Amino acid sequence: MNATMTMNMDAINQVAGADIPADRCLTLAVTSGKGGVGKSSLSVNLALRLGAAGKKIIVLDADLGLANLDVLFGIRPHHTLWHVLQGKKRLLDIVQPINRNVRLIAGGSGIANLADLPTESRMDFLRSLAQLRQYADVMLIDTGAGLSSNVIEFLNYADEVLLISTPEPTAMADAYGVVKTLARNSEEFPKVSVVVNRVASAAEAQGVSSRLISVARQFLNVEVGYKGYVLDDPNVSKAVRAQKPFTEVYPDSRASLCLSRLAESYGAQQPLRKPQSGQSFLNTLVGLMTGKR
Amino acid sequence: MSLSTTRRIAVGSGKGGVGKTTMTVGLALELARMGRRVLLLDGDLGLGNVCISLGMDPETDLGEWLHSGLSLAELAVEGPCGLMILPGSSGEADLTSLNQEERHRFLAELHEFSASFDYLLVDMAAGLGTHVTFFCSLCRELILTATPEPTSMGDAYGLFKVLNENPDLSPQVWLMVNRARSAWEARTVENKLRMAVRRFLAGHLDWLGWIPESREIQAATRRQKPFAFESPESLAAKHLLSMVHRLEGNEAEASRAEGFVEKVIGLIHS
Repeated sequence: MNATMTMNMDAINQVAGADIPADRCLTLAVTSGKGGVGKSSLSVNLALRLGAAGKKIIVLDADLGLANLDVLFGIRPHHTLWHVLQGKKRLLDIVQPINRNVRLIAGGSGIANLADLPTESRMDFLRSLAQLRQYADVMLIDTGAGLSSNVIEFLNYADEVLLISTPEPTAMADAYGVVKTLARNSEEFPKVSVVVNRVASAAEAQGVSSRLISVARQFLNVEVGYKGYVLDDPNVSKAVRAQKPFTEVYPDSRASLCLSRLAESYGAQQPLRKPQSGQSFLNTLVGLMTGKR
Repeated sequence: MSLSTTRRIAVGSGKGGVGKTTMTVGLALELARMGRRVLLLDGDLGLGNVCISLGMDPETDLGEWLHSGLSLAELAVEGPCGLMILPGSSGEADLTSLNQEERHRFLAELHEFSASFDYLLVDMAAGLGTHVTFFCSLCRELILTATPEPTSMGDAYGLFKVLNENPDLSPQVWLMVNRARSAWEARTVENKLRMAVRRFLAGHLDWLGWIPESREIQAATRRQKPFAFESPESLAAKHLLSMVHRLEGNEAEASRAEGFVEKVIGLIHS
């Protein structure tokens, strides 16, 4: 961090968030191995539910190469991670407001070289990310599908990995593949919590997660936890096609209620701080950084 | 079609979970059922699903190619209808990062082994990593799979863009639309993608066909069975057959399998 930025950070701490202790941010990485299991949709809606409960959320679209969170949030970002990794923008410059409490760092799309980032740029990037943590209660990282080194790095970076599966055999096999890779390639096996998406019932979710948990225990000697489930709901697909978050357009749907319950397990029922008056925390921050304030 | 020329076709989508593996396996089995010699490679070298989707549990997988030095011919396993499969590995992050020399060796061996088949189908992993360039350097054709979801269309466009930016790769691109709720919706997806590709990338898409959103496919997937075998009379199975005919250059058979309504809607849209 250069001197100007340090000064800015000091100023921001006085203006916006002097009462926020630096280590309080919970970093959640959302991953699945298999694509199309509803990972991004779940990230977006979990962020919105947490935000609605007064938590400060930064969502990072870390699907480097095929980013979609901007589409799911229904916004068109001017600048994305592509600009950051090209050295054209700083991470702080591209933080986009979604609403009062939720901010998005949009990923780039259709750029092959992003997907194969060299280690050094990755480390730089993770350092800038760490600086942002102090302005949020929860940082949600939506990773890409698969097991690229980028994905593994984000999973190891997070405090907790939300592992999304569905009852389909291929989705379960790929979720197991993620656990296997983490068990083999991580110095310390991270906290992994299973969320089962598109289930017909709570019992089906229990079945899927207990199979994953017991296989991980038996063959990899690691402990995986169970976080919750989201019921199969046609409203989700409808909302995605309309480019609207399902918890906002169908707040009373089965899936939305499951999302609320999931958010509650991260303390969404009790806001950590009272909402601030006037400009919210990251508007102030972004304003200072870009000189637009 | 001359039997001495192998058609090498990669199947990709950018976005995961659009049904790419299910459809690739479906196409491969239809071709095999018609008597074609087909080699299906599970190109998801980290999280392979082809064998899981067929309920097969092979003892070896492509991971062994690197570790034990077995040849591709030794690693291939036989599936239904004489379909030969090169199984992907599961949870082996190291295979996703073959070095330059290993890549060359792998591609050369795959080229040689596939020469004894009529078709090589490669089920590519999601994303736009180096694996896309890797497999598309071998394949002259690409089946681009998309669903009507905006995220899927965006990612399909992204995949086309990546291929377009690389002057060494210029496959013929076929479009398959999966999980459409009507012919109209499928053709709308086609139109949107075709326009975007033409306008911004000066590219071209060939229509392969579409598969309806179907509970039968979902149920077959959970039972680890090919949907066209489980429900041969379903609309999805008929459309799969039509795509195979179209791939083989037999448009008359393709239209017949789809029916009259499809033809009308196709004419309106084109």
